[in-house]
Amino acid sequence: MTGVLIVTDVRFYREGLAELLGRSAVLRVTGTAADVDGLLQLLREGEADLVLLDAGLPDALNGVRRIARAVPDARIVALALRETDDDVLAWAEAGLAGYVSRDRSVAELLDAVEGVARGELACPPRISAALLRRIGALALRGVAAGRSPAVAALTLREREIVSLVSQGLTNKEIARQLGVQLATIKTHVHHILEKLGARRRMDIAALARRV
Amino acid sequence: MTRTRVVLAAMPRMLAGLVRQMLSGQSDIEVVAEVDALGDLAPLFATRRAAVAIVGLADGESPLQCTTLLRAYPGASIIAISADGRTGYVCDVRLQVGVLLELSADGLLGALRCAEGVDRELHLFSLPRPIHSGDATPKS
Repeated sequence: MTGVLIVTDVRFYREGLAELLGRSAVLRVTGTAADVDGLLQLLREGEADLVLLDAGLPDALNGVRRIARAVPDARIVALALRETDDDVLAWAEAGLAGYVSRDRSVAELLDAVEGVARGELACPPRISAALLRRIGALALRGVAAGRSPAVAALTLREREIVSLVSQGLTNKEIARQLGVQLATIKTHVHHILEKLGARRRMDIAALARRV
Repeated sequence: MTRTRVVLAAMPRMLAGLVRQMLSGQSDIEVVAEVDALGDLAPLFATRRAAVAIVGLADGESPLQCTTLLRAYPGASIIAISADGRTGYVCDVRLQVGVLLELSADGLLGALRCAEGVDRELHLFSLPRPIHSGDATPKS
């Protein structure tokens, strides 16, 4: 079961969404909050794998950044996000894992949240194309900054883990240091190896200086 | 058990879904129809014998627009929900009986003019005021 926290300052939505997601066979609502501060308090008290955040909250975009910094492994889904290229890209760069636009039905909302819980993102082809263009632009920027495209493709979290691997820490030690599950670190390391085209853990250390 | 018959109108899909979900658990309430446009709502009071309409307001829309429907169907109630889902407005027409204490010509004229005022107050969704006689001071 994926633990979900809901944050919106509209009480009717808080209650309705909690009931809706609570009916899912794969989601478990672990709490609701009216603002990001309340959500961060809940996150300090317990665990959540996924945060459903109302894009209409005051300073919501900054809220995504705050949540992503506080709980890097939590997947954040924006509710009622305006589905324009600029909005989706800005939110994606802030740390978004998925979104539901404001004209969707509750069934589509449930599908989208369950999809993000599985590590998927459902979005129109136009948005997918915009995301790919942005990734390409970021990779080029990384190359221009002296990084290889593969290294530039690493997320901030993956670079952090590369740095810790290069210091000789085991997965278990990294998990303890970052306050996350061992399985999460194993997944990150697997992704890093894939992105760098490396086969062994010790190859990661060799690349560390480029990170 | 008599079930309250409800129609939904002009609501965003997500909000409508949440309202439907909430009502689905209520044995004394049933949603009998849903329409996209407010203009399609009026006939449903007659054809579907709806007692209550829940309508969605677009950004900047006022619940005052419900008065037109209430004039046509004074027995109905309308609950209008603001676009952001924060606020609901209960709109209905209620019978009011005012007392003209020690009836006088001034009092009657005042009541006539006040009655017009009550009509205006319906538009403002404030509670009607009691009607007093001309000097407005009840005598014991």
